[in-house]
Amino acid sequence: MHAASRVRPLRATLERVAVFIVLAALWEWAVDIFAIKPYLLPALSSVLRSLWHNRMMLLEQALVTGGEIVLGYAAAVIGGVLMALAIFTWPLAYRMFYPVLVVFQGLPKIALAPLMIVWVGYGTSSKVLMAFLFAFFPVMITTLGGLAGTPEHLVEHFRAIRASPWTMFRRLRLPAALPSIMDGCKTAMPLAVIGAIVGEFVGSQRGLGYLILESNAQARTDLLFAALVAISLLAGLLYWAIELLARRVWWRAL
Amino acid sequence: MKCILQLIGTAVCAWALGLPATASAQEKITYNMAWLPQGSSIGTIVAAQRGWFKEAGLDVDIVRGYGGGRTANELDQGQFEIGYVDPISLVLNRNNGGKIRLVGAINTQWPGGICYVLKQGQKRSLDDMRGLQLGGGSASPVHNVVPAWLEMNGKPRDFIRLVRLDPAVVDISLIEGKVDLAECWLASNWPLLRKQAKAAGVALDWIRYSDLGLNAYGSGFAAREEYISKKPEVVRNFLLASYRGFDFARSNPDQAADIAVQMFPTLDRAVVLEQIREINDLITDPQVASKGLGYLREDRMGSTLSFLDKAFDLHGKIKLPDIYTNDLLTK
Amino acid sequence: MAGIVGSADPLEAAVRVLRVSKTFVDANEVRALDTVSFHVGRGEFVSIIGPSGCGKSTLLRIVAGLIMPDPGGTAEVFGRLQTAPSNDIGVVFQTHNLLPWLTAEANIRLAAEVQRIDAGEIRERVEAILPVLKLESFRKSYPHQLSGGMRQRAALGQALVCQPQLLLLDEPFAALDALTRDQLNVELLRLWQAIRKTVILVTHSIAEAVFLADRVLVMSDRPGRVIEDLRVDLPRPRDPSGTKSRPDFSRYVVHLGTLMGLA
Repeated sequence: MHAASRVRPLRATLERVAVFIVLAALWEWAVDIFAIKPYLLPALSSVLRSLWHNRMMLLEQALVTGGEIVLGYAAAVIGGVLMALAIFTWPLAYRMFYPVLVVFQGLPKIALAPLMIVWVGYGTSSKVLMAFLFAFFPVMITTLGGLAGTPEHLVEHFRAIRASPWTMFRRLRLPAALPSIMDGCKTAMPLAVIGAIVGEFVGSQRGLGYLILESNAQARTDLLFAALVAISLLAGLLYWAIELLARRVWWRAL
Repeated sequence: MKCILQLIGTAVCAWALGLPATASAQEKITYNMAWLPQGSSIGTIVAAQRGWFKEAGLDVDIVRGYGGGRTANELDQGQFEIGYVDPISLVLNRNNGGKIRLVGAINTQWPGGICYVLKQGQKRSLDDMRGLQLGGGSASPVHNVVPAWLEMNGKPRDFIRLVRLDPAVVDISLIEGKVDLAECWLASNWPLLRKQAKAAGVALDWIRYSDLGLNAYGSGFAAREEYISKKPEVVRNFLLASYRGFDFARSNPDQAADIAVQMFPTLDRAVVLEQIREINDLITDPQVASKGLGYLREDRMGSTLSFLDKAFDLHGKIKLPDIYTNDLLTK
Repeated sequence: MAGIVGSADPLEAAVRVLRVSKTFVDANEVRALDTVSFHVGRGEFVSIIGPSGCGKSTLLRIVAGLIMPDPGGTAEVFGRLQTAPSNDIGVVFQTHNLLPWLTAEANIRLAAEVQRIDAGEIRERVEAILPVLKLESFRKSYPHQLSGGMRQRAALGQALVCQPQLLLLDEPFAALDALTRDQLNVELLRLWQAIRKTVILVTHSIAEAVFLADRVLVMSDRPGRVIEDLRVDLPRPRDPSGTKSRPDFSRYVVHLGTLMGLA
């Protein structure tokens, strides 16, 4: 009985890590067996070595890119929620803004990136702006959906207890919409990462995206992959943070 | 009482005398390398690391650029003070009403060429390249230079087919055989290509444009006319220190490579060293050695301009004296 | 004058419904109620039964002030014309209105907080309500952790916290199994005996209506009209086994059943 309960958590951890281990092994083995040229795909061991060797620089650039992502993301969440609130509350706002937003969302923002850089500059603000543009729409749409999806019988209940419109919003619509909002936040985070990296690709002096450009320009593929690993870790960490936050929001069982 | 007054007087005098020194140490300059860090800017890099700019009262910030065209335009708009600009971008910018000028030579010969993978050790001549694909970066001058250069050599303008690639994949595309030919540049991607070729187990060779008729300058230092007239001493001091750096790199390439890697840790030292060796070669023009580093020859500037005039149909709109000056070089 | 029935003294009436009609205009015009009139006396327990779609819920909502009747009809509660929901009416619906993100206790507090009742006062009321509803040990549980019966109890608590003078219940036990339903019937009666407020309960179940109420109002098929106002003279306190085995209980049930069959 005791042995079983001790094994379970260990086994769960192993199961989580198993896929990664298998992929890592395959990577290392394939590079060797197929004699893949290092500038096409460096061996995992050389990437790890480069990761360790350049850890301070990678950390420094990760902080730069991380800062851009977090700022742009925060702006997108705040902006998206507020815009959804405005559209939900005022039909005029809905008629004016919603079509524009849908059209804009359809535009490939990657194509707009160089323009953004020219308008806003090569500094941090253009990356924050890109991250914001990528992350804004999912948050707005899910917030809107969450607000509109408030169950009618609860709305009636609040009317029955004579709640003011503000109380109905604060104590019913907003909490009821939270699961949807969190969904949007979760979707938006990886998009914010992409936005910041795209911004760095198009014009930057610092950051992990810039590091990728530089290492590619120097044909230092091991460093390039190390930077890719760093970006993956950064994105994973940020997403996990949002996950944790989302768990604190009540689940959905309306 | 008298002692205190004397003390105050001395203090004020000392402060006043100290002022000009602090004022000149404030002169901020931004130098744009036109691309990511590489060996072609080694002169400015060494001067910065060695403190020669500070000695001359300059606070120099070295930044990356986004290709010749953007660098020329942004220099003209005043986004920075000195740039590493190629004659094509400079002339095109002037053609659009810009007012920038070459103030010092670095590449005394056009450093570009066409690279290819050696198949069974067979070298190619221009005639062998009929109908082949040449990969160049989307914003590269190659797309305008090559047709004009082909014409100059009696070939039709589409003798070689030009393909626009993302700059990041140009080198790999050549090595992997996705394109037959690729643009390559001394002191820039040529050492890089050789490094990748070695890793791939292939050998490369190339034809330089200058081997077949092109007699033109490559990139050099450039500045806005308005800045030149307002702060000639600043430009002069910048050039002085930078060429001192280039001179240092000629005599001590290994040390220079170390200095470069110190400033830009992502650089591959072996590649930078090769780039430095190549720029050492390019910056030296034996015909005007007595004039010192950076001197721009009238005859070669003239042939540069006439080549560009033909390549871009400028109809003589740009005049030779407008595009360069040697006045900012000492001596 | 068909339609106006009732044995309660109109002057003492807690609820007075006079010639209330309601037509909904949707894709098609639906006449839900047709000149419904009845009284409910103070402290009375009245059940309303009728076939599905006869407008019972609509009627209740009109009394609650959530819907307005068509012009020409009025609903009065404690002498006041009903145009909007009011404090002295508590409502329990069939789908419980518990907010999933609040505990049972917090849900019960909700209406009182919305009314800005003093916090200390609210605490006292909640402490009083929880034991009556047998929810003390579940006060910190969330709705999804409660059984169906407990949820309806909590819903009752929601309605009771504002100490309403009139309680309106719209098929509150319809979604529960028979056993829990019977249990809650008993508890409801016990509660009512204690607080002695006016109650109108809409239900599908004839047996439930007879067991609980002083009077049963029978409504016709759509458009709904009151077709019978039956006084239930069964002794109180009532208990499931005792009361339901009485012959007059069955007579009431059969009578109403026949009526509904014909309606």
